[in-house]
Amino acid sequence: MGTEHEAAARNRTWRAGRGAVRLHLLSIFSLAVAFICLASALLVVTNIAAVRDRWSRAGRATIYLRDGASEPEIGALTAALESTPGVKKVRHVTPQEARREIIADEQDKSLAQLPASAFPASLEVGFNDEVNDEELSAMALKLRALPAVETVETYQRWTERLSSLLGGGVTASACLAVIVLCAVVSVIGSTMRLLLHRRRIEVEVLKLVGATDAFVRRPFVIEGATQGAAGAAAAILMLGALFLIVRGRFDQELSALFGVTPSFLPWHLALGMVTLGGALGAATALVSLRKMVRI
Amino acid sequence: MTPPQAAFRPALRQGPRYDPSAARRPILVFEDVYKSYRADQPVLRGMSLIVERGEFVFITGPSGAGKSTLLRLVHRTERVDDGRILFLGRDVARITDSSVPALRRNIGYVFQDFKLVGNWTVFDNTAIALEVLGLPSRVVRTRVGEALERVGLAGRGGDAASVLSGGEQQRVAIARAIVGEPALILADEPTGNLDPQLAIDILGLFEDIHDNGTTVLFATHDRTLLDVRPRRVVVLDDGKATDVPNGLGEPMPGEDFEAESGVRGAA
Repeated sequence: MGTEHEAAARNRTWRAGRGAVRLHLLSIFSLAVAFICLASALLVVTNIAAVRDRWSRAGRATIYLRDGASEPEIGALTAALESTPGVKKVRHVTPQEARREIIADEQDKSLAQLPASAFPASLEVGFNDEVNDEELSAMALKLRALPAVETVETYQRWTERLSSLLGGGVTASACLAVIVLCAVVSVIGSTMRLLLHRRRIEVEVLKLVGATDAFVRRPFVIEGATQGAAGAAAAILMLGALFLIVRGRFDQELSALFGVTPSFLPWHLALGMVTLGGALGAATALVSLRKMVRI
Repeated sequence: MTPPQAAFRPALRQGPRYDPSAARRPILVFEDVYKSYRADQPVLRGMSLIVERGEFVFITGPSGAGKSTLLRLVHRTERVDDGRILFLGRDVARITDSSVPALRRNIGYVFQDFKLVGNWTVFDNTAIALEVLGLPSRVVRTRVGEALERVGLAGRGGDAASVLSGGEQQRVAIARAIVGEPALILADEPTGNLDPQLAIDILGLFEDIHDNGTTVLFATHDRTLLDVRPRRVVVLDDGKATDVPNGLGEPMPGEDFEAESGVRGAA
């Protein structure tokens, strides 16, 4: 009997849907606009997280040497580093090389006036991807204790800044999720009221022939769920199209700048958004109708 | 000839509380029923009435006498203020809200304004009464086909309800009312929107339904219909029911509602 009721509800939903296509499309578009904000925020968060993960394994550190560090000390340190597991390469940068590189990279001409002694000698160390932040920090702590080492730059500040940015992104996404929730409730609630008004005769007839409240509500709940899911899916599709256009133009620049290729929302997140849309739509329709459809 | 009672099928849905002795009780009993929408204007004042199984009863009276209210009370669209209405032995006024759909599935209701969903087909409008029962679609198709045939709309199942004439729409409404084989049919001015000849045709349909054993309560203020055949007539006036077992062929005490309703008197 349940199956027959479900089939009847599907039939009625289909019949009703055909009669209110424009209203449904309008509702889905409004929901898509709301969901696209959330999807965009999630896309930004996803990519910031990728950059942070990449940078947390940036595989690079600069060991600044003391002015008085001798060649044998530097040679011994280089050899020790090269034999350390996880270290890919070690390059000794003399003050003259450092000055040349900085003058070439920077626009500020005043830097060219400085003598070579103003630029400290350093060892540029490259690490394998397996070396994480904690291991790098532990290594830097040991290196700082060496007499030839002035300080060690592990670029973790950037990771921390990105983590902080990521936290902000997650908070913004949570706020947007609340706004989207309000939008979904408002749009689907209004749509349900409109649909109920348009189909009041249908509801009256259903009550007349002995339909239960659940039987009356079921097609509306299916419609609410469909609208919510379709709104979220439409948002993901629109954002996907926009992403493809933007990525084609800025892919290389972004990759060079951040060290990662921009990626779209992972499938489980996209599926989660569609499920969320459907669940919110169904719940809103149910709550909206609870007060309006009574025996 | 087989009496109507013998053909009576109590209901499709007997339920776990089915009581065989209920088959011997009157189908409908009104006991001292009071109903008012405004405190100073009671519609029904201590009305009592018994309707036996398989009866065809006209409910008549002037506009505002409470004919529609009476039917709505049976259907539990309204609640009584006081008194009891027993349908198949159960007090309609005191059943829980969750039991109301089950009550309504045993009652077919036909309205003056048809109450059809315009953008549904004739089939959909009729089938809905069976879909609420959760019957398999094969059974629904068969029974809707039978019902449409009974009301003279065989082969019209695919037509949209909105394109039908008034008489045809009322036939669809009747098909919807009978397709579930209810124990009782309530007809609230079902001929009010139809021309006289169509009204008589529709009355004939209700008589056919009654001949199959279904109890019919037919509310009308159209005196023409009351005179077609001598039937039991219940006249509502001043909140009370006056029973005329063999029709209004002879003058009724207090029969002044004709002047108010504007319908012609008996020949």
